[in-house]
Amino acid sequence: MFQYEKALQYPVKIARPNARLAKMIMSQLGGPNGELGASMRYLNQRYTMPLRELQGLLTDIGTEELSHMEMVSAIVYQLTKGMTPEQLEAQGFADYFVDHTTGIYPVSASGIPFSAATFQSVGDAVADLNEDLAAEQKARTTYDNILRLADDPDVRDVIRFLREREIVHYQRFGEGLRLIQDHLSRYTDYPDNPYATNPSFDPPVPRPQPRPRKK
Amino acid sequence: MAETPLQSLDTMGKAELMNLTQSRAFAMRDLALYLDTHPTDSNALNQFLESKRDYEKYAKIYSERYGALSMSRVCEENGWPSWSNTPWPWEKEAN
Repeated sequence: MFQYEKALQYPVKIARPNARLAKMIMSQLGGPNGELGASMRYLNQRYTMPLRELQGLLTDIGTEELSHMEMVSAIVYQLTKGMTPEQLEAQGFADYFVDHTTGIYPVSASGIPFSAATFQSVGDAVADLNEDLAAEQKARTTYDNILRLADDPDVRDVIRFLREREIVHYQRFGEGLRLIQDHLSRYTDYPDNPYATNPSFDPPVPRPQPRPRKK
Repeated sequence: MAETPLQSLDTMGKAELMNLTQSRAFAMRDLALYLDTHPTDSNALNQFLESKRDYEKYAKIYSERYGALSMSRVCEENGWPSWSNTPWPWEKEAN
């Protein structure tokens, strides 16, 4: 069950509206490396993880991504609030405005609506965790690119916070992958190649133990 | 290490108290991810429990003074509007 806390994970207080910037930031809501995809990826992958610790990690990171989705939406909301249609059009926002006014709708910076095809859940712990590691780095790259283009200090401060979290998540997923590797090397029949089975689906096979020597 | 607030809680403004509360909530969440992959690290657990204790204290004061932080913090004295009719987090004035 999820419960709502009436606060952002990190405060968003944007002084100057900027629709052009809003359109770029929007990609981290509905784009291919965005926070909506991140939360859906982890919260859907967690059920079949073979270790409870990993189910916990995916639950906790997936929940944090929901908070990040809310922060990105708050940036877009504040960046487009109180502008006239003329100002929005002058800042390249007319095509979004026609369909959504200034409502929040998950699309990428190039206008493609959010798609579940941007993430995977293949029901295999090693494959899913490797996807998660790549996803955190892709999100970090996107935040880096936003920082290359954004000059508003209020926006940059929040984006830097979100970028840091991608790096922390990458570290935690790396540790999670190691937990699974340790688990596999204890239980699998193929100690030299722990990637030959699906640890989320195939039952664990005890590793053959050397026979105790007779005295 | 949790920092002691420089200002007294009695005179602290809304934004300061929110920042203080959320700084402890953030410490808890960051430590939670670490504990997920290091479940037997007692030093990390102690830091988590310390942040949790501070968070509970500050969240209670904030909710009574400025509006319920969660539905479960709605109380008889402040009534339902302390949840539904205080600024929502995406508004500038909530931050």
